[in-house]
Amino acid sequence: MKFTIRHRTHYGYAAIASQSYNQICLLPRSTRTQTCLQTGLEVQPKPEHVERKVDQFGNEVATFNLSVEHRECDIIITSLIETADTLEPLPLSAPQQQNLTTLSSLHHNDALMAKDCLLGSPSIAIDHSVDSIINELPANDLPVLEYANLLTSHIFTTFTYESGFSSLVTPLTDIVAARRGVCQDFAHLAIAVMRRQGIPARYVSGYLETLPPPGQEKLQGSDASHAWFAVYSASDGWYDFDPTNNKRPDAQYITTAWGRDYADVVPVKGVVFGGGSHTLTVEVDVTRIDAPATLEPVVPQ
Amino acid sequence: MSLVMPHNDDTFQYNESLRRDGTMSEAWQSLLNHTDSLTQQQINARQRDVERQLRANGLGYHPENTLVNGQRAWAPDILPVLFDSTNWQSLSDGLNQRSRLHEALYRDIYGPQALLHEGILPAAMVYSHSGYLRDLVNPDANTSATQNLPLTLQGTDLMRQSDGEWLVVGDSNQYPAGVGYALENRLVISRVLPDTFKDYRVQRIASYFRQLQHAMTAEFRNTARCVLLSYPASHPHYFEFAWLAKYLGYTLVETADLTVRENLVFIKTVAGLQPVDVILRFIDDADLDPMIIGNPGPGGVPGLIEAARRGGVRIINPPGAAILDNPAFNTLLPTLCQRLLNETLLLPSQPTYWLGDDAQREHALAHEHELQFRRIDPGSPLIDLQTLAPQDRDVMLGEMTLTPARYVAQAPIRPSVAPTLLQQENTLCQIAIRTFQVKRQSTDEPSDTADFDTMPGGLCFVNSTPSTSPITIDQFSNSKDIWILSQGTVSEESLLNAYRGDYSQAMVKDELPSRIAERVFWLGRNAERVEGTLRLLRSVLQSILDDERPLADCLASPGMQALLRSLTASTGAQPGFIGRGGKKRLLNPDRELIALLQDSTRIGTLSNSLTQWQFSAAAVNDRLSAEQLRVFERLDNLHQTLTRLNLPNAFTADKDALNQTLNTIEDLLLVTSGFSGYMHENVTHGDIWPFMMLGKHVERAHQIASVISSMLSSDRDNNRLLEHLLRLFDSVMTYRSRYRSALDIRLVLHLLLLDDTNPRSLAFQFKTIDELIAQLPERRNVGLNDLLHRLAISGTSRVQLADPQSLLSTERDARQNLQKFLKALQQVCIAIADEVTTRYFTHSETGFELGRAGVPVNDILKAVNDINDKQSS
Repeated sequence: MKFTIRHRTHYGYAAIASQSYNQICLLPRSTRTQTCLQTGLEVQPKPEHVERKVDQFGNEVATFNLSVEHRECDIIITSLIETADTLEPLPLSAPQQQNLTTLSSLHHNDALMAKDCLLGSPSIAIDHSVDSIINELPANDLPVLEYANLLTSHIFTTFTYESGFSSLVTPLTDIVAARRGVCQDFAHLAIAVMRRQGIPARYVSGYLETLPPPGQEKLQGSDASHAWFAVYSASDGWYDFDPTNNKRPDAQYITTAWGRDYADVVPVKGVVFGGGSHTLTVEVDVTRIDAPATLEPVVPQ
Repeated sequence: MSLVMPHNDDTFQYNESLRRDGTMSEAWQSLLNHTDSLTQQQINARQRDVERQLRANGLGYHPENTLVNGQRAWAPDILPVLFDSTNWQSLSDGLNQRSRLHEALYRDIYGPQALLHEGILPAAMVYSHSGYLRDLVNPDANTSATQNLPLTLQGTDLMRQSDGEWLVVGDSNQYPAGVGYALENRLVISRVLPDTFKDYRVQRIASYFRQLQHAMTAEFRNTARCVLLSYPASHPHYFEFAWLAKYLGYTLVETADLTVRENLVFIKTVAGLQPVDVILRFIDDADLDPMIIGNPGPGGVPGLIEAARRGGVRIINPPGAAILDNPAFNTLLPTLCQRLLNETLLLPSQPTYWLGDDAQREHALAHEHELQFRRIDPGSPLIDLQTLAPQDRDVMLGEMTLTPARYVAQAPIRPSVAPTLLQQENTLCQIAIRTFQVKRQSTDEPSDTADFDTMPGGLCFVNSTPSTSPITIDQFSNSKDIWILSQGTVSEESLLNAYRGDYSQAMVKDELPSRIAERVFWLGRNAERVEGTLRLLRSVLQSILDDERPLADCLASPGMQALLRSLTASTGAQPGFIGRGGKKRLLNPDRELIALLQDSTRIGTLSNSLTQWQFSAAAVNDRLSAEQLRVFERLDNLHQTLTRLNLPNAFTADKDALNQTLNTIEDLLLVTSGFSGYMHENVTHGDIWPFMMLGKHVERAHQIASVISSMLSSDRDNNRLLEHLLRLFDSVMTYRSRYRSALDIRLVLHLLLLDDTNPRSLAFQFKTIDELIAQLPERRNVGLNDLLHRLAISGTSRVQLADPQSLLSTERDARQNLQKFLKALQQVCIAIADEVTTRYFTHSETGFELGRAGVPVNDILKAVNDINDKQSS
């Protein structure tokens, strides 16, 4: 399937901002299951340069300075993505212990990331905060991908999605205690459980195509960013799971970036000088292109 | 003198002053004979010498917590520790190899990562360490990030075991903390023992600093602007940074002074943005850049790491170097040395077990009682599990089970001892040493295999409590100089010579950072504020003492009430004697007066202004002369005396208490005017001078206007009041010599407002302000429309054009005219301060973190609201 994605981030300042420094991690990467055909970044006011780099995990990151006085800042990323139509079946995987043994002799980039994804990370400590969830699951002697599947549906059935329940700093213990959260919390929760069980797990940020209720037209800007997790099977690589919707990400999922957790792939972060208090608005549109189409003109960078 | 050494095996400690055969070396013998021959008075005198020299270097005044148990932190011992050059050389060889090894390791970890891909370096050993800077890692092999990031400086801590073998117990790869202390100790001790220093042919440490300067600017063909990046003045080691910056001739900056534009780094100065080529940093990786992954706050310079990675600035030591301090690497250093340098490791490290390795973990936990445990992260203390309460021990064991890769176990060390005079008598105290390595710059093209040199000297840590137990590096409390005795001649190299040579960068014009300019401006304002408050309080207390009427009558008199009201008008201390409840407090002023004297938590009080003033001085420590710093040392003492005064509830009725307080106020005034004197002398400090003086005169002008306005608001034909006014503005003598007449309100006001030859008059202040504004930076081509220029003119012309008749007569209209006139001039003062701030200091504003877009949208809005709530609360 082909999609255009338009992701707009808008900062409005109460007072004049004299300078800001921004970092964007929203340029979708090509993966085993998707190809990024085209991507463009437009910023208003226009910065002198936009620098791009590839981060430690291969995500594309853009940075720019605004050194003119400004009262608002608009960041628009437009991408054209093609996703694989068919979902690859889950391969047979080894149980946790055997998976680790195989992993220990591997040293390529994927394996190194998997080793990193066994340890604590900025938003996910290795501690006892998810022990109660582990106790609700069967013993950890299943093949790791099966165990991940089980955890995915367990979170889906025993947790309630509640928009606005959590903020970016809500600790996992609160999520576990309230049994509520949003996609990012569920991804973090799943990762925490997997790592506690000795299974490498990473955070994936991206988008999910949403369809309007039958008979209604899709509202502009109504889509949202999404997040899920992936698990590493030492014999076959990384496989994605979405605990928010209890499914394996398919053609309707578009991947932007991956990391150990949210902190590695913060979509937009920055520091502003002056500006007083500020507002932040985000609009996302994921539009399926049925017929071959060209992307709206984008500003070349 | 007794140097009895216990020979019990369990407590045996290597004695630095003895040879293998147990006899004392000649050098030690004669050093100890020399110090033994000193009388107690001479020793005391030399200790005072040390203190005096520290003060002369501007190192004596540190308002923050530099006193540990009543002693200056790291106060140096008179006795240095001696090493002969042959033994030192072999130690240096090992240290230099360790530095080369660290450099190679750094290049690989942030470059091709061959060691990780070959499985030689366990991934968890690197990834678990908080110093692993992921932002620097770039899998794109075409650009080697480390090319722009040369590892240049190292600090290495060592202890000597009982068998005489040195062991490395710690590494400082981010910056050579303590190098300033080493320099300071050397300067002080070499002057306290000048003859011995010369006779012993002690090797000079200046070569280290010269090499450091070389390394900073290597590859820069022409002059390079170097800055020393430090923590703010509140940091306990701030003065070390300030002192080093002075010594090396680099501008001292904080992260708030720097900005990144298009991957280049600039310093925000009063003359605009000035490019920076090299940063010698004395702050941690984590505080360099708020964009670092997982960094919680907006502190640091946004984009600095990326700028360094791309070669837009050179940071020494480069970011990410903290990973090299990982003690778990000790377990692999012999292997890594073979693999990276093809050499055998010369210098052993403290025996270490990494708990991320199954076999080592099992061993460590089985020998738990013989080992100490610590996290691998920088600054984590070594913990003896046996000394923990059972529940704490369980918690720690639990954490080590959950995240074993984050822990190491190390065998404790019983270090060597050396003769020490700290207790004013000769005792053997345990020592450890911190050595400093610097990359050698060959004159040829820079190569990958540059060697390092070790400073012939360093910082010796002393455990001043006699002990024979094993000790960890954070338990030492004092310091010593390290003397390497040379066989041949010593080059008389001093860093001052270096300036005269090819070090033109030392002469680069020093641009004034906006932040410094702002603090200096406030230093001037606060000085004046303190002085004004002191004068008002002195007038109040003196009048009460001198008044022969009953206290109640005195307090009810118009003169006293006017004074008290001016105190509130001028200090702004609330609730005060104006407004609601003011009348009541005028008749019972005791509580309010005591608060004005002693309550440092209330804004505007004397104690609070003193604190503010001391703080603004500390913040520009490196810009002040030693004399000025000494003023603050005295001020500190007097401030403490003031707050410790035991003032009774019926303060105004207690003559003793009033007298005592007045004495302290007089002392404070003396010190304060001393500072003003130094202010005038320090023209050499160039750029900061007009800002300091402008702060002083703007504040004084505002004070004159507000005090006169409130003194004369109700009653103006009161001789006592006129006397107060003249005394407040130090103009009694001037009035007498000029008018030789009885007090006349018109003459008094003329002298205080319009007479521009009286340095305490309003007219004089505006004349001076006008002159000072012309001396501010970047004022050459300002047009007539320039706001600052117009404000200055508006102040002077208002005073010059004032019609004495309409202001000074006793008519009712004149009284109103005077109030309007004073009000307008107060506003001019405020406007000038605002405009100077906008024009010269706005660069010093601090950054705020932008709300991070998360998922989904609703959560973002909530998060932003949370952040806004926090900021507004």
